[in-house]
Amino acid sequence: MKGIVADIQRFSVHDGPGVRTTIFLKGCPLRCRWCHNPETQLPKPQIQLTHMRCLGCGACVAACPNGAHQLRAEGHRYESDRCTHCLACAQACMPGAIEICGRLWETEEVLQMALRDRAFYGSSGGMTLSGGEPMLQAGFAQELLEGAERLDLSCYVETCGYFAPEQVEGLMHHAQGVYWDIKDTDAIRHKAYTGVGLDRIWRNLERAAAIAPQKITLRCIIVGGVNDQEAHIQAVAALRERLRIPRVELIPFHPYGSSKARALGRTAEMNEQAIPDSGWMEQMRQKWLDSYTNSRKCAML
Amino acid sequence: MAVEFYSAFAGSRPIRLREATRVLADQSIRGQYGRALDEYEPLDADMIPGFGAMNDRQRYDAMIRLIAQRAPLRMMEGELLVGSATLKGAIDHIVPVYRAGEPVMSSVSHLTCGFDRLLREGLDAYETRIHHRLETADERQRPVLESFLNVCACIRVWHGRYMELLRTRLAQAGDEAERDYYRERIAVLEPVPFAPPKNFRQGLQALWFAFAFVRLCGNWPGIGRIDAMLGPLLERDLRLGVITLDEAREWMAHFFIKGCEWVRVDTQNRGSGDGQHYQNLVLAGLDAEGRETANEVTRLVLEVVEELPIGDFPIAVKLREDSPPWLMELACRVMRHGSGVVAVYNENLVVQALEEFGYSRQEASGFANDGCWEVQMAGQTYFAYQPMDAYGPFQRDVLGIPDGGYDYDCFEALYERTLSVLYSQVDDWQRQADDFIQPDRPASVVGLLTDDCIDRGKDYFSGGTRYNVFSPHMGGFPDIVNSLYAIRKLVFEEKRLSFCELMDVIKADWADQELLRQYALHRYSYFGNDNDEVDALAADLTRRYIDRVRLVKERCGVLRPAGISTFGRQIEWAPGRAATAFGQKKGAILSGNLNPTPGTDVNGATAIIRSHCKADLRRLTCGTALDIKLDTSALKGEAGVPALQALILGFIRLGGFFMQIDVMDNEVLKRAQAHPEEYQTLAVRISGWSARFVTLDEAWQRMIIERSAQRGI
Repeated sequence: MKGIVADIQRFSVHDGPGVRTTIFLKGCPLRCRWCHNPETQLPKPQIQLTHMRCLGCGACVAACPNGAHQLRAEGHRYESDRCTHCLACAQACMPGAIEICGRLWETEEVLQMALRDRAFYGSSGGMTLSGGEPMLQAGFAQELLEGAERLDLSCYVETCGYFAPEQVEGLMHHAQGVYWDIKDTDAIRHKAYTGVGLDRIWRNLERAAAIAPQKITLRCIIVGGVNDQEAHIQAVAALRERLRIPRVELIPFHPYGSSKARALGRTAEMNEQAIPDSGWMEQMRQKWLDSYTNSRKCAML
Repeated sequence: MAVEFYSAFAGSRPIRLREATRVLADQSIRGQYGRALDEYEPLDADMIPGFGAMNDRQRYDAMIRLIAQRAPLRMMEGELLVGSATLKGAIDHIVPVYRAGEPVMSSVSHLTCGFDRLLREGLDAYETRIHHRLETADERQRPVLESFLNVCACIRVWHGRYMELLRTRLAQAGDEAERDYYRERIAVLEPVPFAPPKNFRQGLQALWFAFAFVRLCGNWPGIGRIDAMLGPLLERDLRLGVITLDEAREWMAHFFIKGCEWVRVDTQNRGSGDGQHYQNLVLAGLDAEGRETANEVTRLVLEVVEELPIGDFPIAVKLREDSPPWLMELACRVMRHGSGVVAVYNENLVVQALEEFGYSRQEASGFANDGCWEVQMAGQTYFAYQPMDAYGPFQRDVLGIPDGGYDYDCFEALYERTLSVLYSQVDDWQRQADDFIQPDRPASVVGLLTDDCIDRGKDYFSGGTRYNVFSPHMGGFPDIVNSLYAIRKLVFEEKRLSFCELMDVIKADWADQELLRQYALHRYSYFGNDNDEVDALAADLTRRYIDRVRLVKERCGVLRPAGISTFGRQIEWAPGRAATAFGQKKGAILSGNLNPTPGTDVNGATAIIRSHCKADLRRLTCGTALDIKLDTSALKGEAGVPALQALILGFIRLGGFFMQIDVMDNEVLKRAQAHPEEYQTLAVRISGWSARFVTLDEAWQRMIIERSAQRGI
């Protein structure tokens, strides 16, 4: 089976235990306004423009049938609204300023890529499926999980939890660990900031936790001015307690996605002002999360 | 205010040592004791009667006598170890006696003396051996053996002067504490290095005293396997309860503090750094019976450099997949603080390489290095290496830059020519290497401490050592490989332009061809990205180079193991570099050692290691190094130490030889360039040595900053 992959990152050290190869699958049902990986949202290949590399040769302008590229006095302007993702501009760009993000990979091809770093994995490292939402390409993700298992390769999955409920069992059975992203616990805010409601995510999480709670880590992004509220942390703590999930990570928003959004011809919706206060996060961690009955510490990344 | 030391890691360094020791370390690292050497006048050969009429051997012996008799003595307040290499000329790699303001004789580096044997037998036994050997010596051997006796006598003179100083200070001491301090110094120093040390303190003192004397005479030896030498003494002392680990750590810290007594942190006269005195030490590894030797001394050494950012004894740890977990973890904890003080030998591979070359398993398992990272049989080897630039001849005689004259109708023809030029370079060197042994050059300070100089009655340079090893060290292979790959793609596969057209573009430094340059730079995946196609070229070039060197494994009594390195020479080669086919502009600093060319490696640290290790390094007997620069972000949090361990284990499993990992933040380095006074203790790994970053000149600083920093996502 083939799936669309945005990128493969080797020497990942924060996406599961040990050294890992992270497979960023392309396509996501959420549109988080703080998205760190906006290039993974669209489920098909698209172009990315590295402005610094553009020499202003105009080859892309000539190649584009829709006028998405314009060379102006202030520089190269790429209007993603006009782009049909025909990718003609990327083919024409000699210096590689315009690159294609996303291509189809065979399951085996991905596995072979992950196996390249097997020497570094030891007993703990391996492959992590991330994205985007990996479970959006459920068949592909399932094949990767099963293939990894066959190869005795540890496979973790990072999910937003918004996927078809019938996939939960396969995910929890084959993945060695699951990072379950909690964008927010407030249903209204969740809908407003991610574009989808919480119901399906909660149902899937309940089901996943019923199968293998010990495999789950709740990974909570904290966004200043959005969910940096004690009630949210309290709700995470309660959720974790109820579902007996051993581990929670609080991850501060960082405007990593800004330059990527620009490369995609878009404007990032959030900037440095949304970086949460680290002191407050530490306080919340100590107050609500370190006291978990399993006495497993909450991690801060 | 308590002393704090720089760390690249967000977590602070542990504090285990006494504050007084930390203060002494801080002063030493900041160059206080190194700069104080300016006060000492150089010794003058005119103080030696009849010097002008002496032959080289007589002059050498007389100069060593003068040094032992006249070198200033120095004891820093509170230091535990006695002896100091106080002659500034020694820092310049000469025998520190001048005649009419000029040096008389050069000295020796790239060796590790047989300090282990000295500690095992004691110097008195050496004198007995020499006397015994003199009984059957011929006329050529006699002056050499007498020269060895002269060295023994000189050590005794220098030792006697320190003993006298200690006794004088004891007599003048103001209180009981001070008297106790001098009594202990006397008790520890008095019997060594003449008799084998009886305890850890004496062992460390004996090692330092011998090392300091060898250095005082201008030589730059490595230390060797300090844990194998001192571990049994410490274990015995611990068992008897005559020392605690905390006390022993203080002593070890003093050894390291003394080790930077030449450090001057001179930010006005910068160069390749102030820590380049080839004084590596080697830790851990298996003994001849296959038992791990890592012991409490190993632990103390690593704990000291975890706390103090002293890189002046660069540390190479022998590691295997089954090395003790504590050792691997501790080494990684040290690495995480930056300064690159700990590097790694893939022990099993190095031993295999040495055995394959012809050393016995017993010899091979005891390998150490030359004070830098080239492996050798410590205490048995006269070693030198010949730095060679492979890219320069490739540029001139294969690509035809600047004179032209070459064209190729296929890639194979280009590669054949590349090999032919490389082979000529190797063959020329082989002829030069025939003259490696220098029959009349005196160096008895190190000859005394190198097997089998006494038995053979010959000196260090003159065929006395058990092994005479001259190693060609070729640099620039990754740049050749990247060039070949770019030419293959641009000219022979994609046919974007002809070979001659491409060479014209290169000669013009890519003028008006920026589009093509960017294409060459960014559209291909070069060495260091785990691209099998280009890595296969690198592996083949390496194999053919080794094969060619191996055609003459030994001739004229000289062993010739191949090595690959640049040791930073890519900086001096840069002005002669034309633009490259893979998009670099004229004058760029290109690849170091067997590393990717800076800026071309974009797939992370694991990809670099895989590319590097695709060459079969089991036959590269003299070794090569991989330098990895990790951004501090790669090692933050709990994942940091396991990530380093994973990189090392991967390097071992994939067949690497020697790896130097440094952790640094380019922003900090740039701030240090702007405000050197604030970053005097910030050290970085250069190649086989570390240096205070602020003592590097602009080109060296640029090389460090431009090394691609690998991030962990």
